[in-house]
This record gives sequence, C-alpha cells and structure tokens, in this order.
Amino acid sequence: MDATDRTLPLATLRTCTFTVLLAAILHARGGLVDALALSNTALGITAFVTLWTTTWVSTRYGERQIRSRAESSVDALGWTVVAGGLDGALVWCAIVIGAVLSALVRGGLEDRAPVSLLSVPPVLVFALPVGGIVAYAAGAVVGAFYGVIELVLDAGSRRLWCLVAEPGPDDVAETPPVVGSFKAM
Amino acid sequence: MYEVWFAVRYLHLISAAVLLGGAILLASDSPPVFSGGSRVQLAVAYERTFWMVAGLLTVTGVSNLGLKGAGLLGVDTRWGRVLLIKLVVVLLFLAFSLVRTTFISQCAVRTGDDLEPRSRVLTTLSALYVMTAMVMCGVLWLGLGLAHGRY
Repeated sequence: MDATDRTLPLATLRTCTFTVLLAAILHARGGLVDALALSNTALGITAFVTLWTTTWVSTRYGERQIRSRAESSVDALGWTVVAGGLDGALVWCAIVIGAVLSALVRGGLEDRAPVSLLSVPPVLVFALPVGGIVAYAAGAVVGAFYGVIELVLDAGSRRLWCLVAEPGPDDVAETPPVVGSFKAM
Repeated sequence: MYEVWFAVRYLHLISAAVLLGGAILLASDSPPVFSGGSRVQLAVAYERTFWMVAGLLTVTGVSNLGLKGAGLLGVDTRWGRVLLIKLVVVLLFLAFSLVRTTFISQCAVRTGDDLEPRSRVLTTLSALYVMTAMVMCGVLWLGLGLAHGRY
C-alpha cells in the first residue's frame, strides 16, 4: 500500500468512530443493553464487516475524486459528502439483500413452503430505490459531518508539519499540501 | 457461550497489545536501532497495521459489551460512567491517530534516508508515539478496571 493512500485509515476511522459513537450515545441514553440484546456476536460482526466494506468502497471513490478533481478544501468536503451518500446507499442495499436472503434461507430451513422467488424482484424494485434515496441523504449528512472533522484534523497535521519542518541546521523547510488530499493549497 | 466470550476478549487484548508494543518500539529513541529513514518506514508499516487492528479492536470491544448482557450497567452507576469515559477517550484517540498517520505519510513522502537521529521530524515522530502509548495504557487501565469490577 502506498504511504499516501488514505483509504484504509479513513475507512477504518469512519467505521470505528461511527460504531463507538453510536454505542456511546445509546449508553448515555440508557438504551445500549436493549440495542445489543437485539443482536448476537455473529450478526454484530457481520454488520460491522459489511459497514467497513461499504465505507471502504465509498471512501476509495471519494479519495480518487479528491485526488483528481478537488482544487480546494470545499471541493474535498463536497466529495466526502458524496462518498457518505454512496456509503448510505450501499448499506441500504446490503440490508435489503441480507433481509431477502435471510427470509429465503429461513423458509427453507423451517421446512415450510419456501418464500416464493417471484416475490423477490418486486421487493427489490420498490425497496431498493425508495430506501436508497433516503439512505443516500442520510449518508450524505454523515459524510458532511466527517468531512468537516477530517478537514480540521488535516489542518492540524499540516500545522504540525509546518512547525516541525521550519528551516533549521538539520531540516529542509517545506510547506506541503496534505498528502492524498486536494491538489492546491 | 463461554468460549465465544473468551475468544472475543482474547482477540481484544491481543490487538491492544500489538498496537501498544509497536507504539513503544517507535517511541523509543535510545539506542538508535534504526536509521532515520528506516524508522519512518517502520512507522508507515505500523500505521497500516494500526488501522487494520483498530477495526478488530472496535468489533471485539462492542462484542464484549454485548456478551455482558444485563451486567452492562448504566451511566447512573460508577461503572457505567467509566465505560462512557472510555468510549469518549477511544473516539478522541482515533481522531488523534488520523493526525499521526497523516504526519507519518508526510514524513515518508518528504524525507529521505538521511534523516539525522536528533532531527525535529524524528523527535516529533517519537513524541507522537509516546502519546499513543500513554493513551493506550490509560484505556487499558480503564478496560481492565471495568472487566474486573474495580468500579
């Protein structure tokens, strides 16, 4: 992996902080026990891996757009919002497909008349686009939140580098743009 | 059920140990085992490992909470408040880690193998990993206290 490739750090940061923040909010409001009781270890791990995968895909898309098209921090923020929306839509797709597969498998395992395969396309045709639009909007809001946070963090890292790399007997002074971020400063 | 709980907790602790050990190694400046450029490359490798293991830490951490069931006390108890503090510290630590990772990327791109051992870049690198190790020790302290009924 290229040292300048921020896909893994950003995707993991977004997934982990989203999960931990959700747990913290639920815990503060006294709802964490009930929320966790709805799931189990296998389902929880599957959900996390799915979220990390969709976040990785959308983050990679966003970072590529930022590298090739973004000219300012506003552009970078915009592409992070788009990536957040894409992540939301992908998560929704995963939920719908997972629910359909689960119903099909459960029908077969419980030895009753299996869920008709003919009922699957209508569910997908209606649930995916309608829910996908809502999920995209929700993801875009989350993307905006993360975009602002990450811009602040990147500014902090830039400031730290400028402080460290100021001219001295042993150092070469440079004022670099944030690695992997927009082209111009 | 016990085996699952044990495996999840074991993975959580092993992950934390890997990250803490790497941070201590990179924080250490004396004796200079690695050349300046090698330390930066080692730091790049650590950052890659950090973000892979961070995901494992998060999912096993939440699994640990789920496996506690009704034993997961609310914020009206001291245990619950310490858990909330730990979660908030983890959030801030992850944010700090992005700053650290970005700084290391800058080092990898902008510096060569001829970094002087006492250069500001390497001193800052050491300081970042000292902070990383200290925060991780603090979070481990809180976590062990939560697990062993200290609160």
